[in-house]
Amino acid sequence: MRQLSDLDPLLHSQLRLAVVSILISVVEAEFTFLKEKTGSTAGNLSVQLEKLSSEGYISMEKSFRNKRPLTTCRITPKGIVQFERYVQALQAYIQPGQ
Amino acid sequence: MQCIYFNSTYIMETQENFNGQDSLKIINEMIGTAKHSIGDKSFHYLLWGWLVLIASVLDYYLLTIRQTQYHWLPWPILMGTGGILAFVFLMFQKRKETVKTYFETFLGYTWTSVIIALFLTAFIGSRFGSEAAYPVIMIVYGMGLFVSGMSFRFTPLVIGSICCWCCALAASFVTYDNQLILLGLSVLSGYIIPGHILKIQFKHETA
Repeated sequence: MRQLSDLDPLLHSQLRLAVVSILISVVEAEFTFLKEKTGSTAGNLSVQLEKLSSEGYISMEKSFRNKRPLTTCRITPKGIVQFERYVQALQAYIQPGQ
Repeated sequence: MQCIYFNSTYIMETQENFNGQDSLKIINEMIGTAKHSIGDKSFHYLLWGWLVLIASVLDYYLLTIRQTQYHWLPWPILMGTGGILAFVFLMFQKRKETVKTYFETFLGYTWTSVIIALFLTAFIGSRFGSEAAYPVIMIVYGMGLFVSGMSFRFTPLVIGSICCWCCALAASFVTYDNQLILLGLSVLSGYIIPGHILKIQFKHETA
């Protein structure tokens, strides 16, 4: 039987999971959109995005719009695979017989 | 400890000891939140609908009543104006956009292909006569309306696309001046009426 500890620790965190769940359903999203939808603070979101990016789950593009910094995030192929594995593991944990 | 708010539930920002059901709830809510509503997409339907209707009425008036050889002039003037207005609007919208969805990207590609097909048909029409081109133009923009209407499950656009195809079929049997009336009818049913319904619907959604 699977245990929660088997789940990818990088994704098994509420904010990081929320971010990856959003990014899996869109082409790309800006930092402000992720902040608004998750209700997170800018500082914490920034730290979690860096963690996801350093592990190659998401890619971040930093640019400027109207002289203001703009961060655009996308999920990577590795991120998609890891998210799918996480959901499969989650299903196996919730419905162990199936 | 900091909290974040997911619709109806407070949860810890970086809390890691949450259970499987919590994970599923987050995934469902976040995927749901990314699917945003249709929004106010009425601008392009109303802009192009009214411009094509005005151009076809003016063309009809100049051709049949004033009987001038420059009856076609409203087309380049109004379509050029429409192109500039649509471009400015798109640029303005792009600056406000914080997310790019697969759905919008798909619709963007659909309408890009429709616009290219319309240009090519207009070019072919300039060589072989507008009478042959107008039915094809109505078929092509009927396709764009059908794809959009079916994609965001908006029946008035689907009905409008069917009206465009019926007008295209009828246009293949009539002369150029009568084709202009059918063209006006097709944009009224395919663009103007659905565009106004979309606008009213959006106002209700945001009220």
